[in-house]
Amino acid sequence: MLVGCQAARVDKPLTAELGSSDEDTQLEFWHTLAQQPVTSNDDAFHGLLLFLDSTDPATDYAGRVAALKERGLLPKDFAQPAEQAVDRGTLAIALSHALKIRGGIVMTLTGPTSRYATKELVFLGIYPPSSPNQTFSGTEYLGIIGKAEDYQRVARAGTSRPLDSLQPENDIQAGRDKQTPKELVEPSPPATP
Amino acid sequence: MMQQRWIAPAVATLIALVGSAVGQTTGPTTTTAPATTAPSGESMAVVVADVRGLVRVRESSDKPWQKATVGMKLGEGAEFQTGPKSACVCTIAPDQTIVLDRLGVISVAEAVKRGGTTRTDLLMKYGRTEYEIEAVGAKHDATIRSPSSTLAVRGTRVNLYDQPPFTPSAESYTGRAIYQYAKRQTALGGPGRGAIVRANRGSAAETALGETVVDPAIGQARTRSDAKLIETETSRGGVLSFDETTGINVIKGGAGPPGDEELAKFLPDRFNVIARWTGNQDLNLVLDPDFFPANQILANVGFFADNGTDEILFPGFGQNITASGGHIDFDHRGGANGGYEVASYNNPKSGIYGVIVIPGGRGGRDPAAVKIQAFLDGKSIDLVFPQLDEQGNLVFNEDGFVAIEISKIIERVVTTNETDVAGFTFVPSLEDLRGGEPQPEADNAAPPSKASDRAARKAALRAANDAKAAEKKQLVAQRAGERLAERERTRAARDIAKAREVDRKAGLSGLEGQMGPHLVPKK
Repeated sequence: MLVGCQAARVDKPLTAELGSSDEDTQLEFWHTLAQQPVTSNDDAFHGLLLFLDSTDPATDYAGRVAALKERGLLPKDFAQPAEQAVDRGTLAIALSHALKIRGGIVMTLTGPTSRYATKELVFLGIYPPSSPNQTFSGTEYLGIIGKAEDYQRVARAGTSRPLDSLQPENDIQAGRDKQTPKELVEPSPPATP
Repeated sequence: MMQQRWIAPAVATLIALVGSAVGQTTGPTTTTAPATTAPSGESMAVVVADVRGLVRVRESSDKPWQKATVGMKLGEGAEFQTGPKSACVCTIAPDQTIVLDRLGVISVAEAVKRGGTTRTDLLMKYGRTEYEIEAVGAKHDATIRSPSSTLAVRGTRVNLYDQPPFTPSAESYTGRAIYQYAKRQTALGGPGRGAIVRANRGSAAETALGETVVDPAIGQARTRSDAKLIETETSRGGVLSFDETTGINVIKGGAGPPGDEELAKFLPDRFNVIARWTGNQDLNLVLDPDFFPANQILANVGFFADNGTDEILFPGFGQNITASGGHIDFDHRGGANGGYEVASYNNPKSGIYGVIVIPGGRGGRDPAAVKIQAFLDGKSIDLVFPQLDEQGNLVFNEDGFVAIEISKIIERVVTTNETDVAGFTFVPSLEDLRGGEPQPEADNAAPPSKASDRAARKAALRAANDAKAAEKKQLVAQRAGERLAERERTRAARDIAKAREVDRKAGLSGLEGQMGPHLVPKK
């Protein structure tokens, strides 16, 4: 029973060999991860940093955790090992912060906890119906990152279609380093005659 | 090995895309084994037309990966991979376009022309691919395989999404498509309109219904006409979602604004203002009413904005429902065919209704040609807007005042920087109000007709009825107040009498009116 209660683990995260940020290694990382049965904490955080910043300057798991804690994407008391399978709840908290999802009244009052962040992402269609204690396979993790990107595209450009929402030149920094025109984020106040 | 994994054993399916310029189509083809290279035919080149973000390609599974660049030419066996925030656009001359979206993998198993038919076979392992055939004079037999879906398209543009852990889906942007998955088959789309089908729904209609969201803020308050309006729009191909930030249902895409002949079914209530536009832009219809008795409306036309009111009706941020019963049921954010928004009141109060159309900024950025109309009890009524010249500037008359345009349809072109599309309308309508007011000077002023006499009498009667109703209401309130006061006095007297009785029994008589605790004599 005790063995059955243990969290899933991977033998060796992909970041051991595919942790650098050059373009070839990034692509290799993503599409190798898609073949993994489980996504580890280390791989998930590396992927999250690549998604948000298109680069991961950290050289190890501790560095990634520190970077995400500093940005408020991980709870201060997060202390899971690198090889452990990532919780959907943990990733939901990080994505809620990263995508600036406020959620409903409970999430607003309590902050994005594992449970409510997961519920909110399910509601938004970024997650499939999930429990915060589940994990992701590699290909599922890619699906989640894809949905998170769709959410960003819609918020930015009103559509998730690539040719309407990605810049013509290499847009690997889209959504972060480019200043979004204000009218795309907030509507103008209603005018009165 | 990789190819074998892509051919799912039990539910292996194909997406067959068949197009024909003359509308003749072949039915969807289904095979259960990968197509082998045709024994004859001319191999078609796959040319990389656009690269966004991280994309790599290789000529075949045994060749090394290389960074994709625009202009690269590849053939059968080529594989493409994209990273996050990336896309790759490839073309197969003369009329096929393939767009591989973020975090996807696709390979070209076959691209060959045999006789008059171009045969294309693509394998999508996961991700999202958009595929377009411009069916102009050529016959196509195009196949996209994914682990779990089939889509047969007749010379249009389709999008196939198959990415765990999400439900596969197919979307047809234009034209009709047949979607096969898990031994089921359904049609979606039609001429000039698109649709989307998810693999866990039986049809495009079920998909649209399943994705309809009841506004959590006011779901219980939705009337049948509101629900019908939203259902109508989703059934026309619009994609309905709910914007958590603005707190309103959002519709994007769809067939565009309703035509004049079908307008009536898009007007849910007694008083409706509708803005219809073409052009891919998000526009917001805003109403800013000020309520006056009918006989005071025209006297307040120049001053109504000064009164200030918190009854502004705006598509979102909690202002899409007002205390006086106004509502805007959805925020249409445009699409390729434009869009429309409707502001409605079932029991409109008399007054001046400011009408404004402003860019919303959450859609496309094309200029939009907008038509604004108002309807009261099914009849189109006048709107009053400032006149604009050809450059879009206000026109002033010889007295220096802004010239106005009174019309039942106001047409403007709105860009994303536009802030001047504003005017007003009236309840009762201007026609009815004018019936009781002196006509403005006009060069061809006609003598008052029987119709205007009738209108004047009607307006006067309405004003008199309003005044009587107000008086009656006041009287009722006054009498109710008096009865309440009387009841309170009776109750107070009863309480005092009871208290005196208690005091008398306790031997405390003579202390009435004295504050502070009373000593209770020991028994």
